[in-house]
Amino acid sequence: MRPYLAFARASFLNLLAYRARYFVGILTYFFNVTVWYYIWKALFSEVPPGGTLGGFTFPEMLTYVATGWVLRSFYFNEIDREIAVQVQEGRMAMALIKPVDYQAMTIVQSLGESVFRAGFFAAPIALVLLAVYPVSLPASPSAALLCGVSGILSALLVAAINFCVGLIAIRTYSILGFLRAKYMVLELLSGLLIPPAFFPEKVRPVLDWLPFLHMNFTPGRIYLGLVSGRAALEVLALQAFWVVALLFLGQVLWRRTARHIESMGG
Amino acid sequence: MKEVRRHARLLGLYFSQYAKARLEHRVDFFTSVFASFAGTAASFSVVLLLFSRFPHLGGWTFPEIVFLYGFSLVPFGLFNVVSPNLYEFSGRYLTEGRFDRILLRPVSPLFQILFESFRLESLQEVVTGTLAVVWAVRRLPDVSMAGLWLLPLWAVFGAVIYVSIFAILTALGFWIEDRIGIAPPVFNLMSFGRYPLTIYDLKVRVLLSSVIPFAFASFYPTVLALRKAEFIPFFAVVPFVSAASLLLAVFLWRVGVQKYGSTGS
Amino acid sequence: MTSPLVFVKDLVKTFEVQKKAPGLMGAVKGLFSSETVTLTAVDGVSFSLARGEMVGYIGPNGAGKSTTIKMLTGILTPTSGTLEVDGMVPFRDRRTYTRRIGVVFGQRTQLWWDIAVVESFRLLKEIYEISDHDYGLRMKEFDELLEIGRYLDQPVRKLSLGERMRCDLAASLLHAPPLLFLDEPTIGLDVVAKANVRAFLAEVNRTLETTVILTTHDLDDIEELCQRVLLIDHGKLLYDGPISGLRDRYLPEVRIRFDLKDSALSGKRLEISGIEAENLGQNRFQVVVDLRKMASADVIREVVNRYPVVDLSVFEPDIEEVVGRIYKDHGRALPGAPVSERPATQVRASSIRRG
Repeated sequence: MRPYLAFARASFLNLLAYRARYFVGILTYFFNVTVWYYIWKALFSEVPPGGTLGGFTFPEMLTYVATGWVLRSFYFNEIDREIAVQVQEGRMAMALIKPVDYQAMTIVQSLGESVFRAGFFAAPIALVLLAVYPVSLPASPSAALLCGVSGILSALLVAAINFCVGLIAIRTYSILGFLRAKYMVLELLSGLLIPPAFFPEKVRPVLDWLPFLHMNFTPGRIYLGLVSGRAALEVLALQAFWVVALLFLGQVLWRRTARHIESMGG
Repeated sequence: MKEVRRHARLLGLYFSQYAKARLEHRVDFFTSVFASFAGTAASFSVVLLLFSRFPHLGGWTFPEIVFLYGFSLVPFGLFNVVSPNLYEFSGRYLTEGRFDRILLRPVSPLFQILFESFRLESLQEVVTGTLAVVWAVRRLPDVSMAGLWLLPLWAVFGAVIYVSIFAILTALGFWIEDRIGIAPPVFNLMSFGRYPLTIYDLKVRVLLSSVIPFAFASFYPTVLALRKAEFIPFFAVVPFVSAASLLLAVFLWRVGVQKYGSTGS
Repeated sequence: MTSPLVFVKDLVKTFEVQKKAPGLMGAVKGLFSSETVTLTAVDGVSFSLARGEMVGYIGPNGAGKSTTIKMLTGILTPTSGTLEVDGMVPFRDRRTYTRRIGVVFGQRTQLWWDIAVVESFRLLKEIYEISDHDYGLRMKEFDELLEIGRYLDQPVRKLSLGERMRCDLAASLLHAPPLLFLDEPTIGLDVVAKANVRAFLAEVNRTLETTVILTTHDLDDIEELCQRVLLIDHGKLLYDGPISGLRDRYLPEVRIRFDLKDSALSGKRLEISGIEAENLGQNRFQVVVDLRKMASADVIREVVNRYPVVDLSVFEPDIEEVVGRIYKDHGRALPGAPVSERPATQVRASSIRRG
């Protein structure tokens, strides 16, 4: 565990070094919620007062949006980009000779980043949002607890996804373009921008069978108390299953990539 | 004038050289175009899924919203085509020392940074956006022809605004030591300008029309075609905002290069 | 006498460097404040170069070499001092000035990585506004001298280091600059490629009268190409003159090595003119002669007269050794050593002895 902690600490210090990005970063999350606040406000003005859209009332929707972005500020990492850049610049051979599992190292590093982000991004952003917009607190203490667990699983899930994405991005010429497309697709499929109820009936089941809703929708609806008790635990189990499955997929992809790198000599 | 012609010729040359190199790996190129299109389709889906259910949003009809969103993709796509280096300026050029080489050539540094590499696949956004506008126009009862004819030119002004804003942010890299820079977070803010300004309240409108004038790049250019009378004066201002932001960018780059010269970083 | 092409006087460059406190608390503090320290990279350097000269600019890593070159090429502004090249102030007149210089970084190509070399050349032709006539002429010339014709259709990333360097040299001279900067032009090259590069540079210097400033770690480059060296350490110019003078000044010694016929002496201590000879084994001895104290001829005479010498040879220290000694001593000139003939160095010499 010791070497992994050292890596986590290093990425932690690295992040602190970027102060400009820090302050602007916080502001950006605030802006993003603001855009959606206005969009939803405009949309809800079309339904009768107290009415619902996609099963959400306006305060619920606003809370859903806010938790979504706070969560994103927590689970966000760029390991996909870092992996891809490492390979393209030929630095991956260095990772291969370190006596640690590369996937484990990368994931732990991103979790270290998430711990940092929890304190330095998610918390201040949450406070700002609570102060500015009528966002509600968790539905119940147990909802808060389960949402916390779900949030941690989200971070693991995103790290596992990004690890895979990084290994796939290596094969494309314009990595940044590829990753930007990834953000847009995942923002749609994770439920960050719109809850799945807005998708056409035929698409919904497909969404349910993909891991992406567990990035945002799962912790979001637990927070709101839209799912609770035994049902909530089942959802968490499914979320955990996806974490394991994607970690496994990442390991398989990594083995292939490593073999490729070894044969190419870096 | 001679300098302008020379730079135009250089731009053409840079572009054709890059395109040639890029099209050598045809499969990869089409994969990138596809990935890029998937991203655009995803963000467009959000708009379609949300707004197709409602007759109005902030007083705008669904085809009008598609028109606006589609148009906004055009300057955005043009910006994306030239922005990859801007985006990576701090890391690739300043930290890794490539900027020295830029300074050793008798061509404007900003020009070189912008046009040494392109994101060709983003032309997809220009095409997709144009198709969306065409789709919308056929469903709109009353569109101003003058507004439509001016649209391509205003799209270029919009792209210049985007490029200038990010060139300004990139120039801050001369002062702020940060490998990634502050451009990525601001990039997210571009989505503000893609929805009718009428849904925002006054302070947001003012923000988007002043400090970060994204509304001039994507929203105001559409108001003439869509006959939004209350905003039409802003339509006329777009070229000036475009020129002013470009001048500011060029100026800040000058100062930035000076700063680089005295600190070497 | 014509005015110098490069004129540098009392050139100084300082940098403000952010002090980063270590550890977590330091990083948190760094979010809100920052402290700086001032470093002097170039500390009062003066020299001038005439047209057509070829000089080596040497010094250990971090001596201020590349900072000086960056000021000379217009990348950096001097903190103080005068800097004028070809009637221009490099940084101030950068855009015009860059047309008058060529720059080759051995470690980094100026060619576009993914496109064919010839396409890079076409871009440079437009960038420097070279006429079709001149372009054709020079391409032909470079092909003759460097044999680059074979690689022109390949992208740079597929070239070997030596091939790439030749293309880079051609690219830097395409606009016929009167002044050429070379930073480690032979780094990483094999013996044959090094020889090619040197031959080309000598040829360019001779036929086009291109003034060349060369920084390198490979002192053979300097010995073969440069009539003059500038040596810098800790930001100060320590020496300015011919290579031979460098030897006279910093390592004025020769080694006399001789073999004896009589093996009876092989185990003994020999002393010649008060210097103890080093026994190298197998009847071979070596004396190191300090040229400030005696002439080598006297020592040789004594050796030959006193011992049954079979073979005798005299070695001058090679340039690597001299420079190695200078770096180690931080440029303290040996007392009584002949001083270089260039006045610029004498001025600096007074400030050197402190070090």
